[in-house]
Amino acid sequence: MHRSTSLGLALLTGCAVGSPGELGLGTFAYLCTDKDADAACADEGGVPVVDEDPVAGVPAQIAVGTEFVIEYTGQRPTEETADGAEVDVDVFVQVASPTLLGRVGDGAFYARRAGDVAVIGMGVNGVIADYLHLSAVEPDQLAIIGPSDRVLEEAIEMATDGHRQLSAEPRLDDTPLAGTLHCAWESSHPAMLSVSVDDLPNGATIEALGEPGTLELSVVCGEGLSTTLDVTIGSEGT
Amino acid sequence: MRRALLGVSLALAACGPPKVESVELVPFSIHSPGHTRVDGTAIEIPMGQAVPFEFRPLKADGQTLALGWNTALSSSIIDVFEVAELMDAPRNYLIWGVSAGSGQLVVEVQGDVIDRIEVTVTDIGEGGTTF
Repeated sequence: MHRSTSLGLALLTGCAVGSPGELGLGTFAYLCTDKDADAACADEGGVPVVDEDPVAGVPAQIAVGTEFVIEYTGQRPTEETADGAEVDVDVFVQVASPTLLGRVGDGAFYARRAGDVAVIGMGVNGVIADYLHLSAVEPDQLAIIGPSDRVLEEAIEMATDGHRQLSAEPRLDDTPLAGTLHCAWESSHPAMLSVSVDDLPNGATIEALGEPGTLELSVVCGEGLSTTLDVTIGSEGT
Repeated sequence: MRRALLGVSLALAACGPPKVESVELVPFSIHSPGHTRVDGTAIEIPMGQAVPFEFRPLKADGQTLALGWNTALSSSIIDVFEVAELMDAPRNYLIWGVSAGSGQLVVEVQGDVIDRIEVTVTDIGEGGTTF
């Protein structure tokens, strides 16, 4: 007899979307590695910005090149102790194919390639508790947004003493995808516009250094996803 | 419970193991029906996908071998596919494709290999394209 247990989710962010496993014996929770850097943990007026699978509950589409955490809670396999008692064993989450879904530090997963891939709740004794398929897709757009207001930036205008905080978000058909990106930002004219690393792995703070003009701000994220924005300094921006 | 099963197993062993004529694998959930086949003669699974199935070792009379007999399934190449038992369900297993390639699902009864089922793991991409 298995007892229903909660293993105590190590909530990294306070944001978790739970989904019943396909055997109905446990729940797989999707956790953002950084709630301010993953659209799966963002909302607009209380409405999640990322579509959820209507059956599974987890994000319907996770972007290739992003990180996230999956944890399992629920029924656990048992094993018999030397004195004949049956005890629950610990369950870990295994990936069906490392080619599709890899591991990074702190137990997070990394979507390597588009496709469906199962995550499997497996007891340390090798017995399966439950499993769930996730779907990873290639983004077709790297959107640059304001991290707090989520306003899409297609070109930036700013004053000669202005500064802005920006973040990058993977999208497909203009729809935000789940997962945390790691990005590198670069100014074409560092003497005019400095770029400093933000607290967010997908973000940066840009600062005009007093000289008016135009330049390009480029960002590269994940598996080669990139975009470039025109920046005009000296206009009526902030 | 396990002691009881062991008792049954020993009692059955005293009579000699019955011959298993064939095996059936009966999947009860398939994620990609167009790309997946799991039965007693061949298995085809897309890389990354998992299929739960019931394992039925059949005797000459078509009856399933009693649970007391020790049966086991294993993968000949775990880099291509893996198989493991499901909890609380005797002879229910999960098989999943690890990487594109082929191998064999090894079927054992009472420690003897009685069958090897060919397993092919395919590499299909988004939208069902086979790479």
